[in-house]
Amino acid sequence: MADSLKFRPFFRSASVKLAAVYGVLFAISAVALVLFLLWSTTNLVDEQVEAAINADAQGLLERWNEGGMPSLVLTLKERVAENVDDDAIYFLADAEEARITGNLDAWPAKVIFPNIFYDMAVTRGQVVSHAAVRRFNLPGGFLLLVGRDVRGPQQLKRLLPGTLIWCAVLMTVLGLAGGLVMRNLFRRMVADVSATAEAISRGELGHRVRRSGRGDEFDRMAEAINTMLDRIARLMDGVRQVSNSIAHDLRTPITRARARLEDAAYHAQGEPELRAAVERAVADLDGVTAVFQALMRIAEIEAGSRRSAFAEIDLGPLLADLAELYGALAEEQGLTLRLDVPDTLPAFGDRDLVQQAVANLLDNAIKFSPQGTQIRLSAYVSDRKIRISVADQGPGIPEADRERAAERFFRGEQARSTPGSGLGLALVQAVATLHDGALLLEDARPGLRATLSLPAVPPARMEPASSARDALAMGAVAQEPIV
Amino acid sequence: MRILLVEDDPTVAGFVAKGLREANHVVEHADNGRDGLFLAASETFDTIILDRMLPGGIDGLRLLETLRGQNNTTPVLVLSALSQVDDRVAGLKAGGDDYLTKPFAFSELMARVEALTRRGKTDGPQTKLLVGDLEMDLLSRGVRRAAQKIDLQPREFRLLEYLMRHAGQVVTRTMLLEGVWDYHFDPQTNVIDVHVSRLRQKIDKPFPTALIHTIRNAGYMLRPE
Amino acid sequence: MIRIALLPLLLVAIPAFGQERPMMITSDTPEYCEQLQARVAQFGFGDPDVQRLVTEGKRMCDHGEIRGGIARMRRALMMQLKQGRRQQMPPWPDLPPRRRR
Repeated sequence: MADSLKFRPFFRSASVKLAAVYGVLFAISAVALVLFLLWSTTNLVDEQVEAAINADAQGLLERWNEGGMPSLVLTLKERVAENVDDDAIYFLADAEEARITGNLDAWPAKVIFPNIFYDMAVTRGQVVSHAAVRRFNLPGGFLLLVGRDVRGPQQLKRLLPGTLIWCAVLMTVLGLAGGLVMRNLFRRMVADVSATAEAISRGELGHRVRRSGRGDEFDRMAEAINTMLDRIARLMDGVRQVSNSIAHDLRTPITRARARLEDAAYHAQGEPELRAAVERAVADLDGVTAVFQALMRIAEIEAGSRRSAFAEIDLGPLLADLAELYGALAEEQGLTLRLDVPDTLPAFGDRDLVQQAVANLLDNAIKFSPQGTQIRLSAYVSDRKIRISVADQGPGIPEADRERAAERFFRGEQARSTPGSGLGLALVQAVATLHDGALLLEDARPGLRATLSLPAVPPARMEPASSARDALAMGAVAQEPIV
Repeated sequence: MRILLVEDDPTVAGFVAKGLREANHVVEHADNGRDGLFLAASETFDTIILDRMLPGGIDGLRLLETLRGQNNTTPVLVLSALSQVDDRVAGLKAGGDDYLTKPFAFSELMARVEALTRRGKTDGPQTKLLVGDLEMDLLSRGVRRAAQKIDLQPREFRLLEYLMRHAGQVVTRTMLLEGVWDYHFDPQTNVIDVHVSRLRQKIDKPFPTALIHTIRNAGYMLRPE
Repeated sequence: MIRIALLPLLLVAIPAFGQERPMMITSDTPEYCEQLQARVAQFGFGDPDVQRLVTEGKRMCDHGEIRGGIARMRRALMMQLKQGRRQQMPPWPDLPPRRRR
């Protein structure tokens, strides 16, 4: 099981792809985060430097306004002397850029325009550093330069990308690790389902998918699969049972026919006896054919291939005709057939199948009703479904048998001696399921009420996948007919 | 009647041909599609009985389509082991006039063949049907026998009409179910019998001779004795 | 001395900034250290902390640790000013001539 996962080339594995997607997304997020941090930190640092320079200059200009040149010169000297952080740069020059005061050795040649921040290299002792400076033009042609050493911020700016890149790398590694974890989780889940499926296909029907008990989507999927497997197991059991029943119900008339023919071959005295035996054998074989036909019909219906023959039908006249057809037979047997159906009752389905299903119900009702009782055929709309009901006053079906009554060849104790193949209700059930309806058997107190429900309006078109799931849930068997 | 039988199974073919000949029909037999098509196209027949599954490259439906393509309108009864509705529909769509699934009772085949042949020979719309002393007026929906008026329910009328249109032929229960009630299934009980016996009560009982006869293992026939 | 100091500057300056010559900060020189010392001295040495800072600063400047020495001098000055002597501020002493080395 695990081997089939390993054999597949690494990069085509779905779990690896999943992990890769996860990892890539993680890495992209990490990089985006890092870049954003870098950008905003750099901006902040630069802004702080410029703000400091501007504030400083503001103060100096105020001094100039208050006390003119002497005041400004004194202030500049004081500021340099008091600059404990050793990061301030000042230069005051006349119109020819000659030094008046300040702590630069000369006016920097490149600083031409005022109100722009320049970056320049400076030395302190033996150390080279950088500074951000700004030029101010004073009245009288004087030039003032105010700046700040940016070595610290620059170091920070240099340091930051490196650090952040390491952060990104770390996050990516974590992301990949996370991806690996996800891949393993995924593989485990898939492997589990895959293993169960393979076991089932080998014939070990008892396998089920493990559930983690967390109630999440994986658990729900596992539950759905297990339910499906339960149903398949039940259906396969059903098939086994049916095969046994079929074998019995078909072998019996065939055996009878054979026995009669063999008996006639040995013991018949004269042609009339032979002829009679042969005719009876023919009748037996016809019986076998009828059972086959009925089984094939049911299988065909269950395979759902007749859905395409659905059309809008009017049950009013359809049921009235059926009542009329069976009415005569009912009367013959001393029964009354009552019809409670509206004149027109639109429905959506297969006309022939509905006819046959209701005919089967009427057949059963007539077969089992004692003389003098009433059979009622009614139809009504309830809950967007049309319900066709055949109620008789016969012995009914005991509650214990009702659930199995619609199984193929099922014959309750009481019905065992009556003619019929036991397929009547099975066909009605198949027709009901094909129409997305149901067959309901209830106690009519006394008697049996069988209700067939059909949709009143065409159901919305279903996706193929969901219809397969629904068909399976409703008891339809896979496409091969059961014969 | 001249009947063409295209059937590859020798047992079935022999059985059907023998039965048809005993009923004084002339039977030609082909056991594959090519010969069958040749015979059908080159000679005239009253009816063709055509099996669907044929060897020799041309299967029954293709033969039928080719025949119809040549504007050959001979009535065709299609035989098939395929009983699903879609198969039946396909058979009729290809140009068949009737469809019978195997295994079948010979009497059913016979009845349907005769019905087919008769159908091909109707002489225009009729207003009256006459069998013996039984008279049916299709316009006024009235029925008389020996000049006595008989009251019939609408369904009984339709049943009698069908029997009269197939007078002298065997009419199987299946045919009645299809022709009178438009049902396409086999009911488990003999519901048809009850209706026919009711009809008999009205048509035969009050009169000296019976017109409706039961044909054993087949069905019914309406004919003057 | 200055030439030796300029060498590493040139090495750094040329690849990174092309023709730009790094400007020299004049407040990181031994001369400035002396200036500051003179300024602090103008306020007198009453405070032992101030005294200590000045002594340390002078020692560091003499030994070549210019920035550290100047920093101490500045802190000493700040201390003097915090003690409310700003009003008594004498004018700046004249700069001693810059000694060329």
